[in-house]
Amino acid sequence: MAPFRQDSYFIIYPSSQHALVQFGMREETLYPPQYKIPISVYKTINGKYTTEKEGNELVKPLLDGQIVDLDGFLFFLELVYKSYLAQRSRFGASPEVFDMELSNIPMLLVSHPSWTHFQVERITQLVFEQLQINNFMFLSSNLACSYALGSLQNCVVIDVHADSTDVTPIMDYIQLTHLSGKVKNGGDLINQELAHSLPQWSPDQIEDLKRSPVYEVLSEDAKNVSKLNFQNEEDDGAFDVAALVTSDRDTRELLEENEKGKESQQTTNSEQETNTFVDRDGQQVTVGKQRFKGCEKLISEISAVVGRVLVKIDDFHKLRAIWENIVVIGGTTEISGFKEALLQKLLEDHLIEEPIAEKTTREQDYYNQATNKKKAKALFSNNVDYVQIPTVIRLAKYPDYFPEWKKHGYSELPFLGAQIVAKQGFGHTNESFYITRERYDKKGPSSVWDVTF
Amino acid sequence: MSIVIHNGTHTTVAGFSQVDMPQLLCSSSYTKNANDELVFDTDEIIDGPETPVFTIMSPEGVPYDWEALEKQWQWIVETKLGAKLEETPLVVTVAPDITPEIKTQYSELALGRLKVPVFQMVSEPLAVSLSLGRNTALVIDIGAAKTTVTPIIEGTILSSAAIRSRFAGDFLDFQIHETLKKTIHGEEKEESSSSNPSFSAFCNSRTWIQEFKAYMLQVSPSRLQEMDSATVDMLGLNIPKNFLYQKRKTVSLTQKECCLITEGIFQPSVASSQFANEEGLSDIVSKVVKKAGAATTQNSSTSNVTSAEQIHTALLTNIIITGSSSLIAGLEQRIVNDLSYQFPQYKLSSFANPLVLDRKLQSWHGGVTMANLPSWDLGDWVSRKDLETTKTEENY
Repeated sequence: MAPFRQDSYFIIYPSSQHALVQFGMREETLYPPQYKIPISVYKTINGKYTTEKEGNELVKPLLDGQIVDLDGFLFFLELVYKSYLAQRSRFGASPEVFDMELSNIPMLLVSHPSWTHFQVERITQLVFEQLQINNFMFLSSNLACSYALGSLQNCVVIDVHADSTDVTPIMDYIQLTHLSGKVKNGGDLINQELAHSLPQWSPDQIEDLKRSPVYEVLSEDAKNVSKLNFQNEEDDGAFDVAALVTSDRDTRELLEENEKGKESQQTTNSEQETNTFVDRDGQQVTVGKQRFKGCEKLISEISAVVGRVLVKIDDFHKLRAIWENIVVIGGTTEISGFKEALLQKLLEDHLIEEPIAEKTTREQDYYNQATNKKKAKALFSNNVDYVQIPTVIRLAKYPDYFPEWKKHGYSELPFLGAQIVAKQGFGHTNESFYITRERYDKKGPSSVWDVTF
Repeated sequence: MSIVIHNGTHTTVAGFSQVDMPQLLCSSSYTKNANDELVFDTDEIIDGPETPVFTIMSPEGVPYDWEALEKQWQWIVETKLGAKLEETPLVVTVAPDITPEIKTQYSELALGRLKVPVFQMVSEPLAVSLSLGRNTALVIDIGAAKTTVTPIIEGTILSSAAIRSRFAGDFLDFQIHETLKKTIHGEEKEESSSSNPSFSAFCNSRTWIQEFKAYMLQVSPSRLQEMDSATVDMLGLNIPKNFLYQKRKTVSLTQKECCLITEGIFQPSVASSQFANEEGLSDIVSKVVKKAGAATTQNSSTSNVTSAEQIHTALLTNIIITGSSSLIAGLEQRIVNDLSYQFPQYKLSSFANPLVLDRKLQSWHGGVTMANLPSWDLGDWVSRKDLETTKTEENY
């Protein structure tokens, strides 16, 4: 098989609400997806799928990544593909593109682990029989994350959807579906919580607030700072000399930093009693402290499930690596401070460290026992070592070498992974990574189980 | 494409046979929710309200709640795997020593009530040994409710020589709970006063006890009371290990104390004087080897004569250690050590899957291997028609 042209790669990632779609990739660097298409189609009274809105029933084939209406989803895939072909060939006006970039299109579809075998085979069938695509591969969204982060061998992916959240561990590049966990809530829980604190607001306004830059989750530090400011103005300029002395950094450097900090503090969101954002109707809306609330419940539910999922893994070396590579994806995670707050909660809930009460008594005892001479030293008694994991919890490090993606943010990380895999899988002479027409003709839709990336 | 289900006494593993990893893990116990539906999802049970937890499998590894098993299979295949029972071949792993009546009940359930087109029952130890490419093996399976030692010669299970004991994972759970009771509940009230002992036992065994087993337990290389203090020192058994109990309390035990908890598996009398040491793990293993030797020499009096020694050699060089509870550090070494005292004249070689994850799924993987045999007639498939034929034959 001749190698494919990179400008004909077709990548599609159906996430919770939208499908991210891209045709063709550029040589140099990877760009965020071209299209973001809402996954909704319409159904006529006769049960046929259509794009006509009038008089038809709205169907959302995907619910939190799961396929709830397979036929609707198949229709959607076909629609996306054919519309692009039509647009690219200018509705048949320039047929020469079919000899060039549209001649041999390899397709990569990012899948969700909940898709059943039947659904996967049915999609394969559609791709080969209706779309007439000759080379096709599936890639699980979780594995896509692992590839996007420079092939993370061990990690755990937290995928926050609208109504639920999936937690899936990956070990040695294998997705452990059987150990995965589900949180029964997703981003919509934030809306519900906000609706409590802002009862007079409409759901749309709340959604706009959630998506606006003024909505954020404050860290403990930021909360303290903003409280001080709210209560007593004088504190603003106070400078922590003790911190300066104890840190071993250059004094001048610290002072400069402090100055800079002060300048930016004047504008930071967390410092202000109220802030404004523009809603979908173009109206300026002012909102108070409620803009920092609403994520707590979701975060603590996620943290509990992560703990329960990871405790089932008892390969300690790998478990350690997994705890140090927490990947968070989904639109909700774009909220500034969300990831950090989640990490904070994970640390609080799961980090293995000595309970404070025990630590104080132990240190007290130790101090009392020590002779006067040693007293000074005794203050720094050793920590207690535990057999358990985790002793370190970290978020996975996002790659710096995709400038366009860096600008875009990483909540759509699986798409980046899909791009990388498409480049490697389709750019290779080895055909064992994807289903070829030849394989499909031999075995039919079940050929999908013979290939893996 | 067929579905493989492994019903362990603790956990059930299920998935399709054409992929390497199972799709789901659920509990082999269940609770009833408010709508009187059965709940099998482990997390859901732990989260759920405190209600009694019922088991599906007996401590012998045989289902005794057939109705719940039917619901569980239905839930696995239709709700979780999105397949249709009437269209999908089903393979289940079964204990090696089930009676013909139980076998009929299994077929009745699968082919009769659930309308599965074709069905296969795979004997666990046989599947494990064949999937590892051995047709002769001594399979030591240490699970939750039971330990089974099964000799397999040339692809045939010597059921007369197989032995089962109850000293396994659940027994350890109990030992851990007993050992730590005082430390943990020092000043607090006993938790077992809760309304549902089965529920709290279920939760404990799947949360902190599971962690304790994985991180703290270890097995001493030989009988603990026979070691002198110098050896104990040299092995570092006096070094303490710290365990954080539910983020609240530090439990500090020396390695020796950790070994003491597991010693009950090898010498049950250590745990309680009611138990006989003959049921200890190494003892039953050597008993099985001897019995297997004796059994085959009696049978094969006619054609190909195999001596007891040959059987011993064959089994002792093919020891397979599996089951989730076999993951405790040092356990494999202890079995080999003890056996080498019993059989000083033989060479021993054992195999325990080094990948933790794989060992926990070994029985399921065995089932998958059996389901994927290249030829249809290699597997032991039964169809609905076969079942009806046997029934009519019985009636005549």
